[in-house]
Amino acid sequence: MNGSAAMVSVEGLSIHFGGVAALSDLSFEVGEGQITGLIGPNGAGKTTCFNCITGLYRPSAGTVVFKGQNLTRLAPHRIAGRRIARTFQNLELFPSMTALENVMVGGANRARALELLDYVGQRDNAARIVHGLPFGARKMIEIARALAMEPELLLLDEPASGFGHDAIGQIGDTIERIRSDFKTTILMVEHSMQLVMRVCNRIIVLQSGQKLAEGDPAAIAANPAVIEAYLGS
Amino acid sequence: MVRWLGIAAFAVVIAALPRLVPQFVAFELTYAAAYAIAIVGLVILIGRTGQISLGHGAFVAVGGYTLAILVTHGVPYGLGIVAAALIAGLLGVALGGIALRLAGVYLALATFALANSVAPVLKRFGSLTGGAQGLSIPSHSETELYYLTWGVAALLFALAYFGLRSRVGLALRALRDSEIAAVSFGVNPVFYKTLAFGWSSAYAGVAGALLALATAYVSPDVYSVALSLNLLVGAVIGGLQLLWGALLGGLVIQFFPLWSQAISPALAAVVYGIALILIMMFMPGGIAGALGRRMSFIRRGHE
Repeated sequence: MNGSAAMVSVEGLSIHFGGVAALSDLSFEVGEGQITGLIGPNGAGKTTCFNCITGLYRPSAGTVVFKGQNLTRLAPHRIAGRRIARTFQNLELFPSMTALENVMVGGANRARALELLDYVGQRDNAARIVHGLPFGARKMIEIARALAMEPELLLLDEPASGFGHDAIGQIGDTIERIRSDFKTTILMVEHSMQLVMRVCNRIIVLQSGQKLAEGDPAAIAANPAVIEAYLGS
Repeated sequence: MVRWLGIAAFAVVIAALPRLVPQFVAFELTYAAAYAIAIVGLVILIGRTGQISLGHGAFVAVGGYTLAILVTHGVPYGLGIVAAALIAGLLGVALGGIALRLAGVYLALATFALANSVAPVLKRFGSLTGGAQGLSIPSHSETELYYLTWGVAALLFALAYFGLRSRVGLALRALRDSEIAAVSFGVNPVFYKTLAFGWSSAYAGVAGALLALATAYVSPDVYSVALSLNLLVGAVIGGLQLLWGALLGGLVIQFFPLWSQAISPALAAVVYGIALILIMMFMPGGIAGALGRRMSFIRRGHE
C-alpha cells in the first residue's frame, strides 16, 4: 500500500439480488490518506460496493473493516457516525431544503455550513431551495454536505458525471484540494479515465462483480485485461 | 419583523374577541383552537415526516379520557392536561414502532383500524370509562375555557415552531425528503420516526383533554372514525407544509360544517364537500399554501 496503512479492508464481499450476483468474493484495501479509484463497466458492482460499505445493503458474505472495526452489521446511520460520508451517483439531496439546510444535516452549524458552501463555490445558493438548482450546483452542494461530516473516509460516486470534458481538470483539483484540506481518505467511483488517471494513487478495476485488476494508474493503463475489458465493452 | 407583528396583532385580536363576538361564537372558537392543536400534530407527522395517520382521533380520545378520569378523581385539570399529553404521547411512541414497519397506504390502514377500535375498547372497560354512558366532568366558565385553550394552543404552536426549526425538525424533513440520504448522514430513522409519532400523538392528547373540558363530557361516540378523518381534512385543507395552516384547518373543520348547515340544512354535507373539493382544486397546498405564495409574491414585489 505504498507505505500507508489500510483504512478500509473489504474482505470476501459478496451480495446477490435474486439469483444475480452483484458482487462475488471482492477483496481490496483503501490506504489512509490516499485517493483510490473504483472503476469498471456499467453493472460491474461499483455503486453496490459503496452501498455495502455504507450499510445501505447488507452483504450476503464478507466483511468491511474500517480502522480495525467491523462495519458489516451496523445500521447506515451508525456507519455515518464513524465519519464515513458519501455522495450519490444520481444525487440524493433533500429537495425541499435550502442548500444551507442540506449541509447542516451533514452535521455543520450555520456558520460552518456557509464556509463549506463557500469552499465548493456555492455560497450564493445558500438560501435557495436545492430542488430548482442546476445539476452542477447540486453536485457541489452534495460534496459540501459530505464535508460537513468532517469525514475520515469520503466516498464519491461519479463526481465528474454530468460535467463537460473541459471541467475534468477543475474537478480533479477540487478532489485533491479536499484530500489535503480535510486530511481525508477518498474512495471514488468514476467513469472518466482522464480524471481517475490524474488523481488516483491506486485503482481497482471491477468487472461483473469481481476484481479484474488492481494497481497504480500506470500499471492499470498497461494491463492487458483492463484494456480488453474497456475496449471490448 | 412583519411576521412577528402579524403574530402580535393576531394575539391581540384573539385576546379581545370574547368581548367583541357573541358568547356562542367565542365558544366555537375554543373548539377551533383545540382542533388546531391536534392538527399541528398532523402537520408534524404528515407534513414534516411524511407518515400518514387516519387514526389521530384515537389519541384525542386517550387525551379526553385521561383528563376525564383524573378530574373525576379530584386531580386539577392542569395536571390532567399534562397527563393527557404524556399518556397519548407514550401510546404514540409505542404505536410508532408499528409505523416503522409500515409505510404509505398500509400505515394509513393500520391507523384507520386504530381509530375504529376506540369506541369498542372504551365500552369494554366500563368500570374506568363509564362505558357507553361516558363520564361527566365539572364544567368551567366559557371565558376561562376560551383563554385556557387558546393559551395552550399558543404555547404548543411556539413549541412546534422552534422544535421544527431545530436539529430535530431538520432530521424529520431529511427523512421525509430522502430516507437513503438521511440515514447516510447519521439520522437515526427509528428514533426520529418514533419521536414524530409520539410528539404528534401528545398534541392530539392535549387537544382531546381541552375538548373534553369544553364539552364537560366524554363518551365513546364522540371519538368516531369521522373525528380522525375530520382532523386529516383540516390538516390538508389548512396546509400540511405550514404550521399556521393548522390554525386555518382548526377553523375550517369547526366552522365550515356550521356554515354549510346555514346555507342548506338538507344538503349541508354536500355543500361542505363541494367547498373542500374547490379548495383542493384551486389551492393544492391548502389555504396556508395559497396565502403563503401570495404573501411571498407581495414581499418580492417590494424588493
